[in-house]
Amino acid sequence: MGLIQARLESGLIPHRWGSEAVCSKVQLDEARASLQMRFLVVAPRRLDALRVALRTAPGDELARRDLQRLGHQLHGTAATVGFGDLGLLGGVVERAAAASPYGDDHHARAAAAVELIGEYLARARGELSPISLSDDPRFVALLCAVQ
Amino acid sequence: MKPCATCGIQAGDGATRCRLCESPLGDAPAPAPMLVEGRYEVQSTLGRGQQGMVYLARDLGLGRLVALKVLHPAHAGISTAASRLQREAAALAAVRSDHVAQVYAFGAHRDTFFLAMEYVEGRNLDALVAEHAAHREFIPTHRGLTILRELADGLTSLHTAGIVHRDVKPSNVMIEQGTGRTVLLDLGLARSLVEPVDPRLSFVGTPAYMAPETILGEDASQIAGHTDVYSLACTAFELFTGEPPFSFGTIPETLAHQMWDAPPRLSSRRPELAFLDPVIERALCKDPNARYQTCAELIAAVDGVCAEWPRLQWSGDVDTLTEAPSLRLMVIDDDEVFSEFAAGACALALPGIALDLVCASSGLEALQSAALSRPDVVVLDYDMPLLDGLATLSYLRAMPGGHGSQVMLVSSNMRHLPKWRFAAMGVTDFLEKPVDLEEFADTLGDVAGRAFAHRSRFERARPP
Repeated sequence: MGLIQARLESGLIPHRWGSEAVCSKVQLDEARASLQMRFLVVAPRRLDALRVALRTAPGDELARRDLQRLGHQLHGTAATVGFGDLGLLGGVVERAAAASPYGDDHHARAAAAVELIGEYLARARGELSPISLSDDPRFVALLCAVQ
Repeated sequence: MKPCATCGIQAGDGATRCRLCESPLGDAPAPAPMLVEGRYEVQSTLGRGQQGMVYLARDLGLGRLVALKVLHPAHAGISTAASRLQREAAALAAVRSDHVAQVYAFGAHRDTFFLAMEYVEGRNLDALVAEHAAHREFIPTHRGLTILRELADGLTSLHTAGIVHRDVKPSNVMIEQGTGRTVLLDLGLARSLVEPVDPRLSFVGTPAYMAPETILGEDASQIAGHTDVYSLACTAFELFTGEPPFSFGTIPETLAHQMWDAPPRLSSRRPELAFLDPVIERALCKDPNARYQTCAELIAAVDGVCAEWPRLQWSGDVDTLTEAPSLRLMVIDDDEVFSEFAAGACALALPGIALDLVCASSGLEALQSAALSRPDVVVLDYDMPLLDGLATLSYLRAMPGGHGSQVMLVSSNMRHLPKWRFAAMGVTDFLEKPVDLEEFADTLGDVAGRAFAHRSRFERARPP
């Protein structure tokens, strides 16, 4: 990514901290919507990276670690910007790829999660908002498998 | 005999009013807070010793918290106790260092004396060492070296002002909450290098950290900067191994070991630290003249043997940094989307604030940027490839001014996060991913508020 530098100029100084809401609900909603949009823009690149790592993970230790890292990132970030179920799927990938030894069953679980991530993103990009997978038996099965 | 409910001082038998704060004793209703010299309002008790109390108080004039040492009235008439407190005040007033607690005022209150000084909120080094030991771990070596350097820096300031501390030990060292700044406390035993010494008073200190010349007490003129070098080496030994070099048996036995026995090698307990053996060995020489004469010499020797450590050199201009009018905020996360989230939260949390925002995608990138301009606030991811959050922060804290950064740690693995390790670096704000935007912005607002307070305290802020 490189260093991103931004400078926000103003002449004000903070006069109160923490005791009151720092911003309004409207501002929060706008910020969330903006972040979700930005996430959906970069998400296909992440999906591609996940697929590349998944393909070679069984025989390639570096690829397996990459898969784990990409799952970990998705786990933390997707849910943070509002894509909760996508974050859970990232967690499934992360845990499967963290297994040592990385066996066929782990790989199959990671592959199923990545496939579902692809479907999720396709739908979310169509609807431009988070979707729920709670009724999808594949999603439920994947979550149960890692409990 | 019950202590006074207001100030905690033990009352004399039959007394109906406290000698210090004049609150009624016994079952009287709760009295008003004690007010010292009309401006220090006591809020709670921080500690109590044989000769007095230490309170947390608010300076009503300047609106800041202070640590207020008050001599027990029974000791106020004893010249050694009063003069020791006054000596501590005078000693501290002469010193300018981020790593020595600042003195604000000394004065009389009723029939006793008080000392108002900087209140450093944080954890004592001995508690942090013990916490690591409880987890069968040590404070990371790089972090330990930074603490050692900062302590040496504080002691050098004392020595330059002509003062020997004489009681350097982990329990007199505070790691400040939020910044990780190392601060030397309790100069109650400090003495001037130039004033004549009463031989009866030269035997002071804590046995496990006392230099042989302090124990002998035969030639008080031998007590000088190298005396603190010895105690600093004992402290370093404990910092790296969990125990001081001589800590077994009774007090006389410990003193005898300090006097006559060769100290154990650091590497006998931490083989990987063998490169530090010659430095610690020399600093622990029985003969004060064979030791490093100053803490600066000791640190130069440490730096010499640590050449293989990846140390980042300061390449920025300190004046430029300290004159920066805006709040410098650094987000360190290998996930660009999370960095964008954090940047968005910054704009929400700090509306109208002049911000310099830097997003770094790795620990190394962050350190390269911090070497040019130290951040006031750091939002730090724990799980990053190559240099994780712990190592990144350890290197950041080691930079000049690195103890000024307020850090907020974010991780999606909070259950497995070793928070106690981060305590040694002053971190107290943790958030778990996924994190709600509003919660993130709220916490960031609090942390940034502390950063502003820190800059104001060290006169680094320049309000627009």
